[in-house]
Formats: sequence, structure tokens, C-alpha cells
Amino acid sequence: MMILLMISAVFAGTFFSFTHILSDQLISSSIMITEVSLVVLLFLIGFDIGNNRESLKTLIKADRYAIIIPAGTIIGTIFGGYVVSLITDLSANESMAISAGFGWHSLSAILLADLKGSDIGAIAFMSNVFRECIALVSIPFLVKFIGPYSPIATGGATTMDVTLPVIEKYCGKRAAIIGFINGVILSTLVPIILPLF
Amino acid sequence: MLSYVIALGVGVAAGFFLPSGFMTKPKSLIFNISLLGLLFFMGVNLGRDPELLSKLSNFGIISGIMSVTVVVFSVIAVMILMRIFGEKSS
Repeated sequence: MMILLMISAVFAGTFFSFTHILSDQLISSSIMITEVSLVVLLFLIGFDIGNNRESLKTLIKADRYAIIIPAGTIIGTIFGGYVVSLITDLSANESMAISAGFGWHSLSAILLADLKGSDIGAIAFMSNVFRECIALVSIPFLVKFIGPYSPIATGGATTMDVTLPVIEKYCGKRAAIIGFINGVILSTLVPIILPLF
Repeated sequence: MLSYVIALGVGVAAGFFLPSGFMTKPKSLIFNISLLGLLFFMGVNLGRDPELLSKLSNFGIISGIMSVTVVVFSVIAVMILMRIFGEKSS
């Protein structure tokens, strides 16, 4: 439901701006409004991480998979981004920056729209929404062929929220804890890794 | 950029020192409203471009290629690392 609302919000904003239904003043202050919203969101996300003692404890006690899976996801994702630059018009930097959203469509889209322009922001949004959808659909199938842990990689940063229930249902509790840690690590790294490109 | 990292850091610190489950409902409401507002105004930024429609058809294809490639390579990378460093019994 929320993902439908999110996609509708983007389309509504684009439509109202493109057709000049919104006032020019509001359209010109849209960048400032997105920046303020992003600061509020980042504060709340940080708050959730700091406020959840269990997640902090699990993070401290985490087993080796809690390191292997985020590391593999980061390496594979960035390399995948580089491969995309070889087969499309995107530069290597743009492509790897888009991939470094790790499925976190809202944040990566805003950061990249700010850093590299609206076009790249739009591609970041769409490709990261697609990543989330692919993860939701593919995890139940992948678990039968490659075991319970590797499918976590598909979700990227979304394994701490949207795709976590699917991981728990199809891959088990241990995979769910690792999935959550994977999501926390990748979410924390998005605002750090993405601007590097 | 620094303001984003500071916002996240201040959030973690505030969350750590306040009781667990503090203001869960209002927080989730503010989160959802901010997120929808953020996406709406991101759309507004996109719509400012008069050449938007011609660009959109390209974005869809590139985004599809990007998402599939990235998912495939991240799963492969995790499988390789699991083979090297994973538990032998599992």
C-alpha cells in the first residue's frame, strides 16, 4: 500500500509541476522542501536504529554472516553498477552512484537529484523501486536454489523494513536477523558511499 | 551533505538515550508524511524539465537493466563470499 502511495506521490508531483498547476513559487522552492524533508527522515531513521536496543545488541553479537552478506551485497551491487555503465549511456560514476542506493529509492533519488541532476535522480528512484520489487518476488524462489542467506542480497537496504517479512517467512529467523543487520548496515552506508561517486 | 550525516547521527544519539518505543505512532506518522512530501516534491523537480516526456521512455529501460544487473551481481558476490568464508556445515 505504502509503495503505491509513494509512486503516486512522485507521479502527482511530476504531473502538477509539468502542467504548471502548482504555483511557480512552490515549484521553485521544491528543492529546499525536499532537503528539509530528507533531514527529518534521516533523523527519524537514526532514531529508530538508536532506540532499538535489541538491534544494537544483535549488531554487537552478530555472527560472520552479518559481515559476509553486507560485504558481498556492496561489492556485487557496485560492480553491477559498473557493468551497467558498459552497456548504457550512463558514465561509470553515475551508474555506480545509482546502484549505491542499494534499493533505498527515496533517499538515493533525492541525493542524486541534488548531486547529479533530476535525470539521474529519476533513474535512481525507478531502478531502486524495481530492485525492491524484484527482491519481494524472487526471494521465495531463490531460497530453494541457493539457500536461505544469499537471497538477502537481492533486497539491499530494504531488508531492514519492506523485504524483511518475506525473508523471515521464506528464509527463517536467523536469516531475518542477518537481513535486518544487512539493511541497517547498508542504510547507514548509503549517505556515505553514494556521494563518493 | 554533512547535514544528512549529522541528522542521522543526532537521531541515533537521541534514540539511544530516550526510552525504547518512545513516541512510536507520531514518529511513524511524521515519517510517512515527510516521505510522501519528499517524493511529491521530487516529482515536482522532475516535472520542471520541459523535455521530461522524451527522457522518461529511456529511464524505464535503463532502470530495468540497472535493477536486474545489480541484483544478479550482488547475489553472485554473496554466494562467492559464503563459499569462501561461510560455515562448512550449512
